[in-house]
Amino acid sequence: MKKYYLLSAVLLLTFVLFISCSDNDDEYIPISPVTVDLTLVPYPKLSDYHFFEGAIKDQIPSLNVVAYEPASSLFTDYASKKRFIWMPNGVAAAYVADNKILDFPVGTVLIKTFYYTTIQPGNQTKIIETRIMIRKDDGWKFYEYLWNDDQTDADLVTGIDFTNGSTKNITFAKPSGEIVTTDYRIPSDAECFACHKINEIATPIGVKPQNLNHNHTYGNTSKKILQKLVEQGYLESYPSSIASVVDYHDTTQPLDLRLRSYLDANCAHCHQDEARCYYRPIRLPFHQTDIDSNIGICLLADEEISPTLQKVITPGNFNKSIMHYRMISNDESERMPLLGRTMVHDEGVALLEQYILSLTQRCP
Amino acid sequence: MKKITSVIFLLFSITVAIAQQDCSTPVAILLNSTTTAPAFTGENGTAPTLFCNLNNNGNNPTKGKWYTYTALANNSVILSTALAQNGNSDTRVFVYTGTCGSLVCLTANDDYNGALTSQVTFNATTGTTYIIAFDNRYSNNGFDFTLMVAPPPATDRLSFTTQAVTGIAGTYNNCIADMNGDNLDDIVSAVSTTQLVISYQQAGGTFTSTSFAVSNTTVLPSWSIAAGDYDNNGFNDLIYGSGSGVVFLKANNDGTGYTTDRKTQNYLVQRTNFVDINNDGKLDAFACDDNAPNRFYMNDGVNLNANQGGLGDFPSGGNYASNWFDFDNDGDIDMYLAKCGQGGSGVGGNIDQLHKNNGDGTYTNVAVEANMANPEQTWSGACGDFNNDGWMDVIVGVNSASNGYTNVKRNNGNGTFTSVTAGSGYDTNTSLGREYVAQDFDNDGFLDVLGSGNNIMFGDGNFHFTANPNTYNLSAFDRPIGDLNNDGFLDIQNGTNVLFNNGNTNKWLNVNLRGIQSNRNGIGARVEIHGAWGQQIRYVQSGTGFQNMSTITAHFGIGQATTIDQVIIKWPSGIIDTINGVNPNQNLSVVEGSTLAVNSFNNGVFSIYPNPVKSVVNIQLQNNLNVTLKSALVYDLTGKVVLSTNAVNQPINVENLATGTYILTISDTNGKSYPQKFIKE
Repeated sequence: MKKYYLLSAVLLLTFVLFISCSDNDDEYIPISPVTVDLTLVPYPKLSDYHFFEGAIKDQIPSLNVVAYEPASSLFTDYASKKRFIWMPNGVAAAYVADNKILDFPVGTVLIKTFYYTTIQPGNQTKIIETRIMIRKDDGWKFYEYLWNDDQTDADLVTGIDFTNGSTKNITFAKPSGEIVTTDYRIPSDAECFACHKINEIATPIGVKPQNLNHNHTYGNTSKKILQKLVEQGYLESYPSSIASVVDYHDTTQPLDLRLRSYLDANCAHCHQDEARCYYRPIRLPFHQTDIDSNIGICLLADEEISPTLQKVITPGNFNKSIMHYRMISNDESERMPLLGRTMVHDEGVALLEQYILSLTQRCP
Repeated sequence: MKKITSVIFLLFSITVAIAQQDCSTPVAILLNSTTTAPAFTGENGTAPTLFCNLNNNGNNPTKGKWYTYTALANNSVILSTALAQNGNSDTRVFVYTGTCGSLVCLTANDDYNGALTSQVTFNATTGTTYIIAFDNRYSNNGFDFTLMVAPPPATDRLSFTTQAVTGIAGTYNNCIADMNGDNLDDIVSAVSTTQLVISYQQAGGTFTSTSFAVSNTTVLPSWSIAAGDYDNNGFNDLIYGSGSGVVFLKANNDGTGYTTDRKTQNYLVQRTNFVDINNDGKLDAFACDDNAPNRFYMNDGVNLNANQGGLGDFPSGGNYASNWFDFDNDGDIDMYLAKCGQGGSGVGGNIDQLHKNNGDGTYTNVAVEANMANPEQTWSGACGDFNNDGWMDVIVGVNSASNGYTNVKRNNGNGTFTSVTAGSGYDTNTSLGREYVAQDFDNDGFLDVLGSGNNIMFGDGNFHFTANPNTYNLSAFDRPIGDLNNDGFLDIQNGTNVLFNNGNTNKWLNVNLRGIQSNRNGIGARVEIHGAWGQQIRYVQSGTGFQNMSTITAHFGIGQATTIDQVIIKWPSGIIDTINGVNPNQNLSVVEGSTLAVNSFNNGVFSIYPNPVKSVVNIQLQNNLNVTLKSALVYDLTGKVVLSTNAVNQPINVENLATGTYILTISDTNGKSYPQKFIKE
């Protein structure tokens, strides 16, 4: 089997060299193998897109497939993630605002692979799923690919299977070393949409300038993601100064910026204007959480939990803060975020506790 | 031994030296005084270990302060740290009776009225010593507290007594229904994915609990629960609504076990109901989907088959509660759908819907023309005839203030509703909640609302609602309603406690239905009572409010009236039973068709002869019908099955039956039942 791969790689390379050289003998122009025909997608298999070279499970991006990572990211049961972006030739995204999704051209593909490196026994690496968003003429579309056990490819989830979603029982080690077992949730199309929407229109979440204004390693060089996108021809330009989130893990950053970055990544997709939970008074996008009432400090929640749990955040006292109560709960009707996790994010909770303990405001 | 004793004595003498640090060395305080409690730092007082109703979340206090108050007169007193000089200092207070060795909780408080300070009010009795303790669970700061005579408390319009009910188990305390068909409400506890506990109400108001091992339900009723007899066997079944779809638990034929039917559809469930959506005599199940069009499970007599589409199809859901009743009095049930969701920019995920039954099993959303496209953010509405005009009204209860407060909608009787919130009492009630349920709690003949703010809004029959002067000790979430001591006054469960209604002198009637051609619970039936008050109506429902299952029994209060002229049951089948001259203060059980004359039955499928009958009933199937009869049941007029047979192709021997009137029902192979009354001589 390996031999065939090698053979076909050689053949492909020969072919590529042949056609590239035939046009211009002086210049070597490699051609990206990526295939995204908007009239044919979604393809039945992830490999059909040729987003990756070599063994697909290694997730090595093909030519013109660009890796990226937001500065702070969403917690989904401790899954690791790899993210990539691809665009057709000759088009580019436009900057809109620091806190707004880039204005992506038709044909753009966002690729996000969810995997674990600590699957038990023996800390195996296992890819669970790859989620793809494709910008078509009539808007963004969600596609879900489930990886096979051999990790040789992933199959498109279709029809009633995508309407229902599913679960995959996994046992893995948390960063703390604790071994846990859970029914990892593979989302349904409705669940994708529940978070990925603004004004009931499907949208990506993470690809905002504020989240991409930091360095990422490309080959041997470290480069600002926005700069890489410009060099790749995927982004027209971006301003020199961008109000940016930080990596919430980075303890050299101010506590409030870390917490606000965490809330932006984990909560703001629903708790913002024109989104699913707009009817709650908190506003958790990064650019709005510099105001106490937006983040919930001293704010009476719409629904009190008990006489001692009425405020979203009680300064100095996380045990009397509903935000904390909901983040440490796994009960489906109490937990926040509502979707995307079945277990508590210990590190996120610790960050929130540290933040609340640092607050000294006196509530009226 | 002697040495140890002397060490203990030594320790004891040290503690004595420092007052207020131990239960046995308290500082006595006087009424109408202010006491300064020193900071906990620098003291080593013993922390209380009895926390009454307060929760430590696994983080116990380490220090305590102890005081006593010996009452010199009978007084209602207020003990409070809610004083200006305390600012935001965070205290907790406990008041005990008894002795240090055996303390008894009287009351306790943490954050009073949303602040961090504490306050309790209790009735002190002459000569009794009350032991008062503060702890350092939240703060080590010193504080002042006062003990003052309380102004006389406002008199409750209706009061409840909270009592623990042994047997209630687990944390899902959200279901009251009569599970064994004895017309007494029982308490259902979904303990785990493999255990169900039912606390059966006994005569005399005690409970006997049975634990059922069930095969793995995978999910629990984390969002909602409903009960109904979907296989018409006399024992209610359950549906759990979870964040990952639904599961059914079906009772076997003697109610001694439950089988699990986990459905594969995985979605975020909100309100669930049992309801006969296509009126074929078999209950279907409905589930609000929070993220997509609603789901429902149609009963084909064998299976509950998954469906989606046609009953609330907003693409991204926002469906929170479905309430089934006949809003236009055309004889079939419709559905009010409470919605919550994004309302900005005209998206409209928050706009309520009203689904009119087209009479053929399909439904059409007529909310706009009915003026029920309410924009409020609502998780449930209280549905009932609040002005006793024979038309169902809706109180659209809000869960968020972002699109307006609770909206009282009067049914105009012409297919439209009008907002009558102004002056209703809801115009000045800005509390928020998820549970809004209409019931008559004080039996005055006017529907009340158990809703937001841990209170009941008592109705006056003309869209004016008044809250009890004091709030009730309720959960905002789990609060199923039922008559748990069979006294005709509705009680409310709160966790492992029940708030038993102390009642008053008003009269009442509970109506329990036994459907035959209709579903056995009579869900969807309209129950009317007529008398000096005019009329009152109820629709029999499974699953009201947002997440709880409250009693299926139709409960009425009639104030001080002494007789009920008429009880009329309009069954989903179209059969109408009428009972004249009914005495109040009783549980009335009505079997479908039991009041009809023998010759007024025309089930369209079979007839019997002779009638009256002496020994055998002969069955004559009507010609040219594509119906295969399968089994027969004979009920007496109390709804009890007195005879059962599968031999329907031969005469049925009824020689052993006592003389009287009976209803024979024959089921076909599709699970549909047909009734015929006969007289045994």
